[in-house]
Amino acid sequence: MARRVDINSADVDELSTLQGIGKARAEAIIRFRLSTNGFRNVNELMFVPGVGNNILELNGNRIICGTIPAQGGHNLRSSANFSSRLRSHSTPPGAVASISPRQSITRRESVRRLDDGHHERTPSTSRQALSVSIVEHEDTQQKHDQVKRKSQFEERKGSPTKRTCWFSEDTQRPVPPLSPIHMGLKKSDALPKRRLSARLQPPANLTEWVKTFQHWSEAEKVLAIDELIEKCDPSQVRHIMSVIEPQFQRDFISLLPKELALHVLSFLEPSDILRAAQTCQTWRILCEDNLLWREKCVEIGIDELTSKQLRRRSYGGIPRSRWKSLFLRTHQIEYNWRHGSIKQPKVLKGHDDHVITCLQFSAQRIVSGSDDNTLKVWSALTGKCLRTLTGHTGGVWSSQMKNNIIVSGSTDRTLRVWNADSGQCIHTLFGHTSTVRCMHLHENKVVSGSRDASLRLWDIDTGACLHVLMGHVAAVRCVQYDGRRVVSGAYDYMVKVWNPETEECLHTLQGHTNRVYSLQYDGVHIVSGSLDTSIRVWDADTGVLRHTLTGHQSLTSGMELKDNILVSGNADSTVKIWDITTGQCLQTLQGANKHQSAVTSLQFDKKFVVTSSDDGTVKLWDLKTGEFIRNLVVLESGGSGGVVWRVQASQTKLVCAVGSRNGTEETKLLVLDFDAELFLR
Amino acid sequence: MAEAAPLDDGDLSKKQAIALKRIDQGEIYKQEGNMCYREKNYKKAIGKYHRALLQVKDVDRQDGQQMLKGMMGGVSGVEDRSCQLTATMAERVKELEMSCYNNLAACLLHDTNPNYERVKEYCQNVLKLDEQNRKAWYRQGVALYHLKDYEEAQDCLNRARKKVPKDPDILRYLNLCKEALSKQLQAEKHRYQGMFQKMAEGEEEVIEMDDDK
Amino acid sequence: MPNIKLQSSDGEVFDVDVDVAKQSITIKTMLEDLGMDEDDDEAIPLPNVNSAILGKVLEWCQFHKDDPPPPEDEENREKRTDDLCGFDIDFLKVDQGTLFELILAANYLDIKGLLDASCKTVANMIKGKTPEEIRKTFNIKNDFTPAEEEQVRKENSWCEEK
Repeated sequence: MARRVDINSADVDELSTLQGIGKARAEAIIRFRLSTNGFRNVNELMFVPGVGNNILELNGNRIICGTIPAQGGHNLRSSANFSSRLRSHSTPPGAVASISPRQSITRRESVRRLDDGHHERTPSTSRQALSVSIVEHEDTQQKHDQVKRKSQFEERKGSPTKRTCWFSEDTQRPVPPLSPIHMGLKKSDALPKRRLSARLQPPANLTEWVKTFQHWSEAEKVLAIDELIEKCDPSQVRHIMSVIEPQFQRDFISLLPKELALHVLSFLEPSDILRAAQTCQTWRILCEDNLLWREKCVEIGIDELTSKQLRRRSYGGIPRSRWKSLFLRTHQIEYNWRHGSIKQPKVLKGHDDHVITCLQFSAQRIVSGSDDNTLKVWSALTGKCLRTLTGHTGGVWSSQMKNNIIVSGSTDRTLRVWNADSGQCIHTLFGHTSTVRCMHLHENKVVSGSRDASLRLWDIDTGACLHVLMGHVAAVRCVQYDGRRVVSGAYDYMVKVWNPETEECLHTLQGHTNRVYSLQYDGVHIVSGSLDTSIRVWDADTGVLRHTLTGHQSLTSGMELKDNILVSGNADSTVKIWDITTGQCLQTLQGANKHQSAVTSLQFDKKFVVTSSDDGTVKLWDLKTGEFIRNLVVLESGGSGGVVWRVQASQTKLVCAVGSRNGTEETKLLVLDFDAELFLR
Repeated sequence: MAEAAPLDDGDLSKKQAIALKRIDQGEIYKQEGNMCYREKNYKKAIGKYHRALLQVKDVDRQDGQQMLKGMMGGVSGVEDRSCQLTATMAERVKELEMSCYNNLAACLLHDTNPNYERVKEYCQNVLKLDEQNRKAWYRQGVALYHLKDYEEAQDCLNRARKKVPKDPDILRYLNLCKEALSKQLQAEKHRYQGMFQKMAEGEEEVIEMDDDK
Repeated sequence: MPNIKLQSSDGEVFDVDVDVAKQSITIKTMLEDLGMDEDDDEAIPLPNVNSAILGKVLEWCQFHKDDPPPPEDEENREKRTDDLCGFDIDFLKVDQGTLFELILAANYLDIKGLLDASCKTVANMIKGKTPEEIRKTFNIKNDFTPAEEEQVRKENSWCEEK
């Protein structure tokens, strides 16, 4: 008998009498009815899973839709309200079911909209409703994303209307308390993708099957899962993984106690820490940790902050790490030396047609001495010539500078002590009977070496000559003084070690077979460079020869010694790096990009070697590998007369004394700046 | 996300409840330790005190709830482990740590061959929590005495005296230090005297060296 | 070989060789204080570590029990992450949750080798990745506004030769 069936009130048995509706589908209809507060019209039957499009055709007028049964429920209309309540609602899993009345209302809304014939996906609302059953806290944005994914899935599957039933099997069922997915999802960004698969027509016995599972003991459940996984094919296993995997991902750097998170970060390279800082707020703060960066600074050899760096700066409310700023600045400066585009150097013109014989550079002050009898004081900042120190009556061939005191030595046989700020000559030191060729200043005393074969110790405060050291039998060409001992090298092939106070020559170091031109002394070792092409390393206390460094082909014109590393520049156009404790030559700076002419001067630090040459270039080399990095200066006139006589470098600046012997290049100073602030990205 | 720390133990979250249990258990172990100490069973007491400390160590960062037992290495997605202790709980933890470290130091000193470095370490742990702790200063002084660092020992003992200037134990050790220091001084004097003697004898040699050119 | 009983937070008792347990400085200190006497066989409860993790930790300790002690001057050594031994690399191929738990357990029990190895493993998951890739790996939510994101990017840029 074709009785009418009111889908809003019929029970399972009644519904089962319909064509194409069995017990399972009848139950599904009822579940749908309950969770959506009733059908608004018969068409909504199609949203019930398992109920096909043909149901209405099969059953004709039998199916009717009565008035919606009264439901206790909240009048939640706005989805915004809904989602915000979701967020603040700290529902334990068991209480999920109570949310459904709300969800049913919103679902109705969405259904109605669809009914208007738009067949659109309604974004947030209905999907939120679905999500609620699973999670406790959700973010609308995340749901929205989830929603997008779901709708894409749907569209792919075709026949949207059939698939738009949001109703899932277990929205009504209370969620078991210890169900893993639920427990883990407190802050999940990703909803379990199984919701997607649940949208498909669930198999008939799914409910019972799951119920059975739930009734088993923990161990039995694990067994069942194992069995199930064994029976799954690869794509199903992959699906399991894709659902579970997000649950295992946690931003646990934020969750670790701070010192452990920092311990993790301490293993990263600085560049990695900087990228990590860009992930989120917590990481940003963590990656700014001052001690973390201090460690990084110490690793590269910086272990103190200058007063400038001690100034605290902050941005975005987060105090900026001073060590980090220092580290980044140091790195930037190194980068600028290696790769930065070299901006136009400042050109400091002076000493026309003459040679710049000596160069001092400290803080922002440059002092050049010339055979034009003068010295000039320049500002490294502005490039302006601040003072010209006049007074010598012969070429200036040596100089020293400390703070605002300049000492110069001339062919006029005198030394002069100048005030760099005023330009005033404070003292003129008489005594030598020939050119003052070399000098070394230590605190307030200066030792001068002269062509007259003697050395003199002067007090620059008083201008008095304190001691005279006699012993050499030819011009003294180079001198070193550390306050305690004087070491001198002369054209008599000898190196002498003196106690200046007693004027005694403690040792005469014999060995060179030609003139000694250059010296280095660090209190422990004496290193002498000679026209005989060799370099000798002596023990300063005993005078014993430690090593003879051979390999150069010509005169070593200049050397620098730091931390037992010696760098020697030679007229054979090469530069060598030596370990003076072993006597080993570590690197030779040559190769395709080598200097084409005598090396005139050099400077080095922990990373780089800067060399200048008669070939008119200034080159940058890597200290550790000996590799050529690049040319910092290339004179156009190089090769036709342009030469670089001297270089002096600081961490951020390079000063070059440049000129020619044949008028092809004007005498001048070039100042290159590699400072960090200059190179804005 | 961060739960506001409730002021009393009345309203606790699940994690805080677990923390409370651990603190309770810690105190139980401590009491058991105290009993063993009274019975002069020092080794057993040490065991109890260590167990107490293990209860409260990192108690503000608990073991996450167990989920997927047995699967995938045993622990699933991580929850935020942090657990803010109530003020009362934090205070109890601090008290417990101080007592245990103090008592451990005391137990170690009863040993036939005490590990004085360890005693010093435990005393320092107490002092980090309470820089006025008299017992810790005293025991640290004792340890330092035995480690022959007499000046430091005196320092510590004097700090212990601040509250109880006439405590006989402290005074006794101070005396011991004083004696030890004076003995040390004597020994040094003898050594230097010996040196000067030798130098006087060797003086001619020294002069000769100077003449060397 | 003397044994020691360690009890996890969930009640499981592990009977462990003392040499293995001594990898944990916390346990080692306790044993040293106790001296040669067998602690009257009472288990030592470790309420901060569950059985699964404790099991893993002990497995690590078992493997490393004959390792020489680490050198003293840790401070000045350059920190590197490419020096994990084969066993550790394999051992730490676990889900992030377990890795996290291992870090906390190693910290609780003061097992430097395991702590360093697990932290290095996490560091390796971060190395070389762009911020977005890091977010994906750890499921981090980007909570910067676009303006903030630009600001942070500027302040953390690293010049490098391409």
